[in-house]
Amino acid sequence: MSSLQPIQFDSLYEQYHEMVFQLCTGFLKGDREMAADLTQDVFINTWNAWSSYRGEASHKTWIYRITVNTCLQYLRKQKNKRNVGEEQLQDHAEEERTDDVHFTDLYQAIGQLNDLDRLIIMMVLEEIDYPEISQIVGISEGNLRVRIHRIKQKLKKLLGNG
Amino acid sequence: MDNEMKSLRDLWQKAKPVAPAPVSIAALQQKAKANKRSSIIFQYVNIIILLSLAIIIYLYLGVWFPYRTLLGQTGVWLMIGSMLLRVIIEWLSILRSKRIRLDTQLLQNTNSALHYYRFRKKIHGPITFLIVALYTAGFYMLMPEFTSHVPTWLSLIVMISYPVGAVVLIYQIRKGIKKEISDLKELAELQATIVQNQDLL
Repeated sequence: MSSLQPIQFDSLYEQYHEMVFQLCTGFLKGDREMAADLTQDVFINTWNAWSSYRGEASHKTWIYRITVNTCLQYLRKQKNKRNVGEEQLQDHAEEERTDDVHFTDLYQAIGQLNDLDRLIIMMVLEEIDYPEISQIVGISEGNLRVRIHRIKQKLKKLLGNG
Repeated sequence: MDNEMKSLRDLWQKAKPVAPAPVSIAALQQKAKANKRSSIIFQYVNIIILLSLAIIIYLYLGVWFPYRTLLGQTGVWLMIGSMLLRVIIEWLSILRSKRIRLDTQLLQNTNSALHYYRFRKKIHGPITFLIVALYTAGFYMLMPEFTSHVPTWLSLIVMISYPVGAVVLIYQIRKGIKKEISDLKELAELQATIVQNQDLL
């Protein structure tokens, strides 16, 4: 049984719902329907994990951790269940926003990165501080900086500026 | 690079998808509770089935129609023992799976999941073979006494149907193993991706 009082969960959900949805949408390469389901999974996991929250990290970092872990777990499950490959998750950006060429390009470029790089760059785009991202992923800040530099280079190439 | 990143950031922020209306908290909590319940049932269902079978074997072959010969009695206890061994392993497996927490750092979560799947891999290997071998040996130890009480045709059917059942069981187990091994591979790749360059710094 979770020790989270309904009112606390309420405010947590309201505060971070959009943030989680945004990350899930990007992770699922623009599939908003799946992202809505995944967002729900994230908050179900948040509810279930609340009793183990010790306040060592901020609520935001803590929820990002759950989001990142849930996203990767979800993809593993989907691949096992229906053998969902990259192919089935790639064209949603185009379907959703054909009116915005630049945004579509960005989504498609991000979609071509590996799962972890995709999550990291989205956190960068969400303007999360590097120390916070390194707390979420579990790698040193120095290592994270090197990785982000490489992701940026990859992204630049994918966007046709490299 | 920084200017490019800034424009990407602006684009990302500007084009944020509109989040669907949040579901009601009560519905979410209800779903969370239901998920937790079904996950617990799913985890313990194997243990419950195995324990029930062990109890049925004990009552049927040990109490109601007890085997009299030493060979027969040894067979019964080998069958029950192999099932209890499996129950203990399943229980240990549940305990290990509880160490995989979703609210930890990604690397920590991946490492815990890797430990779990490596443990499962060990179980699926020599331990499962040992359990199947013990159970099979126990089963065939019952046969000499069993054949003295039933017609030959029935003994033959029982003896032949056992390997058929075993093949079906092994097929099912292999399906489960395949899924877990694929998870293990993915996790190992993810762990390698997370820690790459770590040593260089």
